[in-house]
Amino acid sequence: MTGIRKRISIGFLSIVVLLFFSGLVSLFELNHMSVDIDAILSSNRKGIELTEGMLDAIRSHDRAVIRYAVLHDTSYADSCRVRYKSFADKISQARAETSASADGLFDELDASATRLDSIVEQLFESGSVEQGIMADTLRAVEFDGRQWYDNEYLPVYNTTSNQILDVLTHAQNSLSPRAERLSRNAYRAVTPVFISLVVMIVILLMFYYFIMIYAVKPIVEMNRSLGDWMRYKLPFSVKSECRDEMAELRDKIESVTNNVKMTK
Amino acid sequence: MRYSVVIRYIGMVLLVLAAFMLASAGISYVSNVDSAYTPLIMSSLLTLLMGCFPLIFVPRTDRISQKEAYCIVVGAWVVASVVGMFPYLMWGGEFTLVNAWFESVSGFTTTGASILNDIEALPRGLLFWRMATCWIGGIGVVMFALVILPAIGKSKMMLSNFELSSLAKDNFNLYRTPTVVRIVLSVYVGLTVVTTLLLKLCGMTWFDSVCHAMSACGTCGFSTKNLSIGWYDSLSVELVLIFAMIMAGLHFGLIFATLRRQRNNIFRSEIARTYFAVIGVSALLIGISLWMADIYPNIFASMRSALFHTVSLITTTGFATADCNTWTSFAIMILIFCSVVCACAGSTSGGMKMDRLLLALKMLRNRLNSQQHPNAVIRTKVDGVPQDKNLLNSVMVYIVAYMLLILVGAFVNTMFGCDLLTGFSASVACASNVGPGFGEVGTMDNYSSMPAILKMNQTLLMMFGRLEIFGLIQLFFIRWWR
Repeated sequence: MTGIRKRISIGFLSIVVLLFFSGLVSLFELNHMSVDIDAILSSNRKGIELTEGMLDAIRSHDRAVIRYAVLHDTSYADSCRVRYKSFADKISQARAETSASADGLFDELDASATRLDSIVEQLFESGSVEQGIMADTLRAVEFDGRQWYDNEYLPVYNTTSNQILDVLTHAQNSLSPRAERLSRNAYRAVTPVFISLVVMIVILLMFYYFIMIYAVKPIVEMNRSLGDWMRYKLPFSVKSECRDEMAELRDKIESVTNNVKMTK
Repeated sequence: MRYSVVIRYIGMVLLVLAAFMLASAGISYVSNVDSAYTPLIMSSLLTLLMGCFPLIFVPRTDRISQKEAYCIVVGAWVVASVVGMFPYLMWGGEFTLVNAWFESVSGFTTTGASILNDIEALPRGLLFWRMATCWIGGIGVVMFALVILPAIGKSKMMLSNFELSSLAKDNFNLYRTPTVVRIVLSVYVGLTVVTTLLLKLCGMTWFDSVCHAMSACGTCGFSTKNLSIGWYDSLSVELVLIFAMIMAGLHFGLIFATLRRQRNNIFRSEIARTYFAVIGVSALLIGISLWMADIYPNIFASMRSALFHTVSLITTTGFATADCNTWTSFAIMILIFCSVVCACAGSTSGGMKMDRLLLALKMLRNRLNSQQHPNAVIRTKVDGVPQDKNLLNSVMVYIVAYMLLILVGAFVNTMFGCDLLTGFSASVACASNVGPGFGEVGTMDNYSSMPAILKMNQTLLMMFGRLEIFGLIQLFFIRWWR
């Protein structure tokens, strides 16, 4: 037990500590959540960027193949090779930056890309575009680039594009458990703060009650009793549970009233 | 009534809880700072603050009234259960608000019922806190504070009077209140230490040994494994736990007297003899029933399982090695009987208590005798001592109230969709602080599938059971108590 001033100070200090504590917990948990959200957003952004890069590369390759095979622009032969290499690099980069769970999808994508490349390479080797003819089983026929593109190249191109989209879908799906974990973390982040607030309310109520009992009530009682003594000359009597400043004040008032009584 | 004094004493109980939370955080720390570390530290700080606050303001008082003592005891149980939720809630996982309340009340009332589907997923710190709640609850939260905190003085007598069951005081007549409190704690701690060592010798890890010893001595039944004791599949572990549970179900005063080689020991006590007889006969009947129904391959396996579950349920512990739902109806009926009667007063077990059963049976016999000999003066005696009429009346009133409580609990359970076996056995299991029941809440199941309202109903039953019904009811009429 300490004096009333010390007790009130400790009471306020407790509330301040609790406020600081709940604030600190909120900050800690919110920071934790913010890091989690950042991680999810960045992996989401990265997934989209990688897919976009692969799609851009394959489209660029597709445009070069159209120029070469359909429009018979033989100057695009090297461009086809360069753009395919860029596409293959993008796949390797995406594989390196994606989790191992997508390895199966990347294996399929690699296979399709290799097939796409081999079709184009076969065309280069046959020299059909340059000569304008292509070797058939029985006779040489005029090379139809559009037909080659529709029948040979386009199906593999579509398959490869779809597989790139599959990789994107997988990347997005892999985010959902993390988002779920985040929602659980959000619960965990809010709960300590909520509990701290409840405890703070309890302490505030206790503080209010104790102030009323040990500070306000004695003052009211002393005021009433002193008033009774002044008006009706009733003896000054106030009970006190604590040995603190209030009790000292009561004792002093009591001795003053006794002194006045004795002088009369 | 001085509410400030009540708050001060409840604050002291909170200090004890904060210390146990810190100890659990220590376990968490040595277990590579598992995920329970921060929740336990935070809970401990909050509990410490709540506990210290009233101590700063309210002056120490040595004299407390009956009404205040009663409010302190009941209030301490309720507040302890609320504060006990903090680590669970902060950790998250399966613990929603209702689930955390259920687990906390189940721990402090030593019921041992759980809502957890995967106990092994809990970090070690939280597992230890679970066990700590039932260990503190086993001896009584206020009783614990009485011994640990030195500054309680003369209030000890008043508080222990309310904490101890009225029947439990009989064997402590020779001692002063502080001695009684010390005896109870010494026996409790001693039994826990011995059980820990024996379990360690049986091959358990230190952590599991301590946890299961705390659980067995508190007659709680919490385990660190999803399959409870069945996980170990070890005869020696089962035998050690049977010993621990039987001892925890005996009056601690009797154990103390036996150790001190005093006259009023276990072997001379009529109640202890009845307790052993009920265990022996029940286990024998269940064993024969299981053997005849071909549930176990041989009579030894049947007897082993029957003895373990009989002791587990009669002492209100609730450990399990098998799914009792597959047992015969006869065996289940005997186990329900054991769950209703339970062990001796003055122990850590809950339920109706063997003392009351013995007194009720003696009163029944006396009633028949007095009908045959209307002019005879027939007194009801236990261990040759005539029993007070008020005590006998209170025993009968308690038995009626206890049966009504079970019926009301079962009524509410079935009203919200439980089948009859589940609803009734859950009501018995919670009101008697046993834990596992039958049906959907069997020995290998849990209470997780129950709707929130039924979980709250079970926690109310646990509280009523632990505070011996009238304790909690009086709280609603405290204003009229003169």
